[in-house]
Amino acid sequence: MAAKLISTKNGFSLIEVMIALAIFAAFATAIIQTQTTNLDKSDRLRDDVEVFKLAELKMNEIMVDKKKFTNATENDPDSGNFDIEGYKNYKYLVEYKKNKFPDFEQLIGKEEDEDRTPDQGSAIKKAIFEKLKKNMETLLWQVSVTVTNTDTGYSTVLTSWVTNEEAKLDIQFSF
Amino acid sequence: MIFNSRSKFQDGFSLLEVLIAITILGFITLAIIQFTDGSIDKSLTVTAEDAEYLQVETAMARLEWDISQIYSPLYFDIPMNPSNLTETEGQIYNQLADEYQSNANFTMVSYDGLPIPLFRRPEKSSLVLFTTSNRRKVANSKQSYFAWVKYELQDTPQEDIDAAVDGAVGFTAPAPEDSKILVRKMFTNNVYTKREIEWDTVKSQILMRKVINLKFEFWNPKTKKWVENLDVIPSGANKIHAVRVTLDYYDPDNIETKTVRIFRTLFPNFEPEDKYKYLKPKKPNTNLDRGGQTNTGVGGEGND
Repeated sequence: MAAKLISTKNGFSLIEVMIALAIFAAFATAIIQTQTTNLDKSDRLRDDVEVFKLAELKMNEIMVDKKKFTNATENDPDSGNFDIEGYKNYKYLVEYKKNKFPDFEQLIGKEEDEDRTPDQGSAIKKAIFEKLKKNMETLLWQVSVTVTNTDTGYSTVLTSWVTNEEAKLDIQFSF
Repeated sequence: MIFNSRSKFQDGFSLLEVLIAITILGFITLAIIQFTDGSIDKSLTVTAEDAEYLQVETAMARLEWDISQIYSPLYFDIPMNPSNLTETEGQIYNQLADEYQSNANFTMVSYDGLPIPLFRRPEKSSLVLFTTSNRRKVANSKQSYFAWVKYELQDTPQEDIDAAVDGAVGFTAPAPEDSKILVRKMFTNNVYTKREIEWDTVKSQILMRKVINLKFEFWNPKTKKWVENLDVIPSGANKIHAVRVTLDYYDPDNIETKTVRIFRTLFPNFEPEDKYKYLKPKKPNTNLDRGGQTNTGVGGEGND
């Protein structure tokens, strides 16, 4: 009987109001969240730019003042903090790696006909390639610069090639 | 029967109910308005701040564009040296030497007869470059890629300071009175002019506001150090290896900020002296024998 009477009432029930409130609250939270993440993103973006610019600076320093490359260079990473006013909390790590080129067989692929004896042409090609590979491995080095903001933990990595200006190239062939 | 009577008499809201509803609605509206207002302010501030940070980046991108494309024949050639020429080369040199003696912008000529530009720092915070960074504005027009470019600091225009004093301030802090503006000037009309370029008459383009100081340093490959004076570097006034730019400026909150960038030139760094060691005879080739022995001069050695 009571239920019948309530249904004739003109107005919202508690449930209805609560649902409406919940929907409103959901919208409000969504708006607030977008707003704060937007601000976060702006900060993050700015930090990204800073970190990248510092990495670029370090890379240019490396390119301008070329290091002497020896076999020990690979195991001798260079790290420290930037000595620029306002950027002392950014640290860098510079690593060098020798280039590794694939072997001739890997590049050319396996011969389908295994029994076929390798002709002289491919032997010459291989010899030339081996020479080239050796030269390239001494001439071109890889360098990677990692810059980290120690306060926020944001970091970026920049990699490039550097030429070894003191590389002695071997272009003597003996066929 | 209570229900019956309630539904009969409560067809509308009571005054109290309406008042409470309006009050609650009022609070909610107030909160929404405040929040919206605040977030609009914040977003405008962020946009304005980002724009200020962006102008640093654009100014630096401009500098990089010009510096990376610096041009000098010394990247691939050597200066013409009178004591090292053949007779015909000597005649050409004498003609050219007259041209370059009173030239304010090109003080030397290269072995291949190309004018060698002179890079200058009229003041500590300014730099004059010869670069290939010019681009034609009209397709197929005969316009050179070469240009003289000058970077300099100027005093902040009075209206910017007035605006700050009047309190007509945007969403970032106004320019302090001691701040300067970074200006770029580009001279493209007649780049091979002998006369001093009248920079005051060249249109200037504002790159950045709220600048405190600008410092240019140049890479000295001999001592492996950055130096401010171009003349310390061997042929430094005619050939630039790399430039380190240190810029001090006020950030959007007027806090002094520093940024350091290194810009490299795109030309690979040859040692051009070697080119002539191998390709050209060292001394004038006077005993050219037209008989059986061929002496083309290409070998370099054995001409004496």
